[in-house]
Amino acid sequence: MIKKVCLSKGASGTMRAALCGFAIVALLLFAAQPGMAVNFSLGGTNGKLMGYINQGVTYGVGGNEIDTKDEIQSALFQLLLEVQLDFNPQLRFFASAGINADWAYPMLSDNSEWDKKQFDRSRDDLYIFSHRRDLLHEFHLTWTPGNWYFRAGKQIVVWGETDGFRLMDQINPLDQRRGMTDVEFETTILPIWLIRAEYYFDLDSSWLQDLGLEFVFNPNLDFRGDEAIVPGNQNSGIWAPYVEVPLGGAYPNDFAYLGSYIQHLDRPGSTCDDDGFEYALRIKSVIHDTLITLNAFYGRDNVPVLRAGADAPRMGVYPGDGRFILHPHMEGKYPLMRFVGFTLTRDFDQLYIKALGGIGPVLRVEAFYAFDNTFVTNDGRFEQYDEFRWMVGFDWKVWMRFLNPRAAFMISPQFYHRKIRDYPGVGLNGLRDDNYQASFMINTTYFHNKLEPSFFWLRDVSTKSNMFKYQLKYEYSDKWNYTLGVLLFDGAKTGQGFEPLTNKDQVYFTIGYRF
Amino acid sequence: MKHCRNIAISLLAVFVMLSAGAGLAAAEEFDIPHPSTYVPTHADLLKHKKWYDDPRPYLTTFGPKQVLPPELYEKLSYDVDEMKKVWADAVGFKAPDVVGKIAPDFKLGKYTYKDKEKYPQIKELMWADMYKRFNPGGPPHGGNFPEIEVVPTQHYYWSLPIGQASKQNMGKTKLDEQGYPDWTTWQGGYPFPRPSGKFKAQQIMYNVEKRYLGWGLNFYILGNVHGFMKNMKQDFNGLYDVVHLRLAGRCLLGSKPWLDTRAEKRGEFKTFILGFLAPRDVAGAAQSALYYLDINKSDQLMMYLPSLRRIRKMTSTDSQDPVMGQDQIYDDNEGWMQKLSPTRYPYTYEVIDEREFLVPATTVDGSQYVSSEGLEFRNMKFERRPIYVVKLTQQDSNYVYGHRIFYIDQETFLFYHNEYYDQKGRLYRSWDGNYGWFPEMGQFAWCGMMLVMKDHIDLHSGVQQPYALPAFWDREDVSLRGLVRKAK
Repeated sequence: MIKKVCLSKGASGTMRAALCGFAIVALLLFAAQPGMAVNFSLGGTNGKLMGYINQGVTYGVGGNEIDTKDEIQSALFQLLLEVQLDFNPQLRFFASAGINADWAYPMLSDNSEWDKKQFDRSRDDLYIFSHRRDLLHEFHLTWTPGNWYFRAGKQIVVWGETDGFRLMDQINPLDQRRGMTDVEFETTILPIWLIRAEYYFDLDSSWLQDLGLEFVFNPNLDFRGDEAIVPGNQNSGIWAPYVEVPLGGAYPNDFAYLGSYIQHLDRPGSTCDDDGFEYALRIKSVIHDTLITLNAFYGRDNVPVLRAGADAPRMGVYPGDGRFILHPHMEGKYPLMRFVGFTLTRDFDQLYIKALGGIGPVLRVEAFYAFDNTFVTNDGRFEQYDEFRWMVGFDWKVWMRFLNPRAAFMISPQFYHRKIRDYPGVGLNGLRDDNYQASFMINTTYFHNKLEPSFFWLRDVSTKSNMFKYQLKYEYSDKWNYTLGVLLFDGAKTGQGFEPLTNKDQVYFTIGYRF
Repeated sequence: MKHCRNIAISLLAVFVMLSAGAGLAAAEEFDIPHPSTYVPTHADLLKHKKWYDDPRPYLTTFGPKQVLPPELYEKLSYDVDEMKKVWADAVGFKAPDVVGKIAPDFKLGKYTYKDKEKYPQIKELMWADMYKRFNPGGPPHGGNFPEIEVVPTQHYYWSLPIGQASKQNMGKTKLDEQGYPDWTTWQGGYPFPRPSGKFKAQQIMYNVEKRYLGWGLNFYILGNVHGFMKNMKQDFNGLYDVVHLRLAGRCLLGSKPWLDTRAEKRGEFKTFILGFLAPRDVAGAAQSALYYLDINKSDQLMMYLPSLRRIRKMTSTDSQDPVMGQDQIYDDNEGWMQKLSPTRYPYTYEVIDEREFLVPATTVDGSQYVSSEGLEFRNMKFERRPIYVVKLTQQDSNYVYGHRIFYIDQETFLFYHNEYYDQKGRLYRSWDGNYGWFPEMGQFAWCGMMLVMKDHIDLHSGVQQPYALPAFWDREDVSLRGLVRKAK
């Protein structure tokens, strides 16, 4: 197995060295102090080393289609090492580095189905995330003199109150290369090089309890947009969506499969090009026990806008059934994004129901208004329109002692609306003038917090499609945990919402070790 | 020109004199050093005391006297005889004078669990759970002790300013017809140093609630919590720190009763930030809490979650769920933190016993320790103490507990043992602890104490030996800024 991993094709020397290095460090840490963070001193500075190792496997149950594989389809490995140095109470350094690998590539390299469906062609991109920008996660220095807070380096800044999807949270790009597979949520947010400064006011007011200003600047040292799920097995592996392009003929020309794009993407300029500069301002406050923020952002959308290029698509043939695979030319850019918005969250302690445990709900609201966002019309033009997005959700813990006498159930529904103003008559690609999503999450714990069943449902109301996640997590200890889950997708409208992921239904299992 | 020069010289001279005067005045005022200038880290602490099997008297080498800036330590120390007198006046007795009535023939000295049969007085003097713990360590819970040393009963007291405030303000705190306080009438100190009358049980609980533990609730704690399953295998190894600030009823270091105008206008009692440092999944998490005096006003809770990288507003009404990995719910925090309300999960209150018990004595040197084998508490000293046994019976069947029982020291209003029973009357959880004692400061603290929390239904226990120092934080240290600074 190690030989397959380290010596098989596609594994460059640098990547092998990095992989082996990480593995050695992880094993040494495990052997030296099993299960404990490592505390150390470096020239009088206290430091600690922590991390985790996850090994998962997914088993496809979505059938034998071009975009999926029966039985074992991924074997995700995640290793993360984190180091923190506390020079003094005001100055600390934090860095994290990790390996994200899918052993399915070496394991299935001789598998005919894997080869026929061209999953193997995504090996270079998806076997091991070996680019240095993926190996090094965070790397920042934090200085907090007096009322100030400064953080410079590769970091994560999260805005907003929404769970499961993003509204205000537009600073860091998202990593969806592993799809919705069971990965640490933290690692789906891609750290980028930022400078962050905050100032907190000294207050002695009875209504304004806290006030802080936050300014974030992205100097565009290394532009990165979302690493999204894109068509084509050679790009997205087993997470490539299933899309049929009607051809109007008889089999095998009834339809073609949508394959990978031949992408001509205009990215903001190279290092420190002001074309990629981003500015974000947030005012944070606590007013009468309510957490309120005002937000403003100027920068690049992490999601590019794409339209069909002028050139004819390239055609391939799927050996499984002889149908064509269409590889269209797509051209696009990362457009400017400018918005102002707010978030609000507070609890309503008087709205409790005694019979349900007497817990009041916590309301979360988030909204922004974006100016001149760029969209692609259905006739292939880039056009700009304002848009308004908002979300309302709440968290409510309820006790249902007949189901669980020892712990409450957390219920979190959310509703999201995205309104495109002055919606054009020709329509916009993939968007209506009003787009709605809703989510629902419920979880609880048993056996002294060791067993956590949970259910998450994300519905795209506009496209009548759903994602369901059923999960059972067992925390044997603060070191070992085991997760078993099922992911299901469906959709009523072909090619829209979650419908292209309908064949991705899977069972997953992950073992995690923390230190 | 000469006239202008003379005026300028005069003005300069006045300015110099005023500055000198201000400097002198400043020199006379005490600038409380910010805690960040002296609080240690866990790594520092471990050099003086390991988590297990370490009998070193670390409070004699790494206690407040050694760690605090000397001037701060001096300002927090008072004349012992005067403190004794003031506190005895406040409560109306001295503990050594009121004990020794039960099993008077039971002598001071060292005893092992094997002596239990030989000395039936031990059973007479210990409450049932304590007697059960007086055994070698073994499943299902940690915190047993196979041997003890019975030492003389001490006359305890609180710091001089606390004693004076309690004496001066005795009788000022008013209760309504149901025994619930009008906190606007409380002016600092223990509100009921001599609990009595119809609402005696409630008065005792208000003293507990308004306690001045840990330098008047102005402290910094470094803590470790180790969780164990019923087979004594460890399943949780947590590190935390606490930045704690009292906002009302302040009296140490010449403080005004309220921290600031805001605290007074809003009726804020105390606030803290609890930072989780380990294990990995919670490292970087921090909880901010702000408690109000008004029993009808919900407290404010926020939590920074490192997995989400953001602050989440929590509801303080979510107080019945277990705290992460521990054998307590949020209402059990620090042994007990539930708000006593006539409308929200109200109790009836009863003093069911007043008598002496043999309880774990305070520690002055921190030589107590936990053994890795059997999770035994070692080097334990015991003393006879006059105890209130107070029962709170829950009136709402929707609450997780049906009743609670507290064993509270009559002289200090600190509890040693709490039992929490579910609605079916089964013992669900318990809390046991003693305290660090600093005689020259008149202070008890979560410092060097031995603490065990147990879940008697899931058969799980958590053991701690926290370390604390006086720390007079600023409002900003426990505000949004403080929360963000701790964030990952």
